[in-house]
Amino acid sequence: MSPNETTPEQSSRDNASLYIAIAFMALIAACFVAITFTMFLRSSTYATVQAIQANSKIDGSALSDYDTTSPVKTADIDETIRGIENKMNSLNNQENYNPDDLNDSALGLER
Amino acid sequence: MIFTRLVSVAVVLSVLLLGGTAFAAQNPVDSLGNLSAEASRQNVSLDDTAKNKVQNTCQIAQTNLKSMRQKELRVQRERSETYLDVQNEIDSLRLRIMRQGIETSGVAKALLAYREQSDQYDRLSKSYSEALNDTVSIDCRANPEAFIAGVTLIRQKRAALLETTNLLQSYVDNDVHAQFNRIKIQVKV
Repeated sequence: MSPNETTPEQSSRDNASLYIAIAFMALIAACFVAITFTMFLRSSTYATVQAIQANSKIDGSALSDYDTTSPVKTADIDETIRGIENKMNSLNNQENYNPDDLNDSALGLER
Repeated sequence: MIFTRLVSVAVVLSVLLLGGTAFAAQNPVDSLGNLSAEASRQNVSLDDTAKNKVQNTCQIAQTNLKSMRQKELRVQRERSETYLDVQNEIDSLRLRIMRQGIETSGVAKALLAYREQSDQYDRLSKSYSEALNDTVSIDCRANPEAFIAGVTLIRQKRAALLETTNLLQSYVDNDVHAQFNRIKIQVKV
């Protein structure tokens, strides 16, 4: 046997090493993909994608639950205006966002 | 030989991987970093007396802010839903009127202004919640300046929210109302 020839044992060992090494690299590649994906999920790009998806969802289905076709009479306009004003008036801006809720005394910073 | 080389490459890549993992695992919300930057922006500077006072009372303030947080989230959700519902009510009525061949560009303009304020409300609510979360989650005794900057920030955001909600109310009470009243003249009884 010439010095350059490999024995069957050595060849088999080389093959096993190669497979292990390839598996190693595949594992590392998978980890890199996972890291990249995690970074994407945390990025502002993903937030923008989500916002756009949410907006298209709203735009696409926003009026599906509302009457957009029947003829309108003045009474319908009055009724709608009354309805939306009632909804808006049910939100108490001053109570929900009262600046006094955050003053030093209310927070307990004045002791 | 080939195995040794591949393992060397793998080791180098693993080191890079560990660095990347550490970066990816960092807390995305750096509350103290945010509020320290805010304290610099606001030029917050406390003398020893003021610092002591804040250190002695800030944990009570954080408890009070935490108890407000749940209510704030509920209010924000209800408001966002109501604003969207009102927007859709106005838009659906506008479409019905338009089908009758009546000009509705005034309503569309008022609706656009309303929608912009409604979007502004959503953005402000989000940043208000973030500032509130930052303020309650830092170690306020160790970082009194950052805590005071946080309190100032949430006060500013809350004032902006009040202004935005009042503007939304005003759009509906005045602009939208006026536009539909104008249209009513052209609609058959």
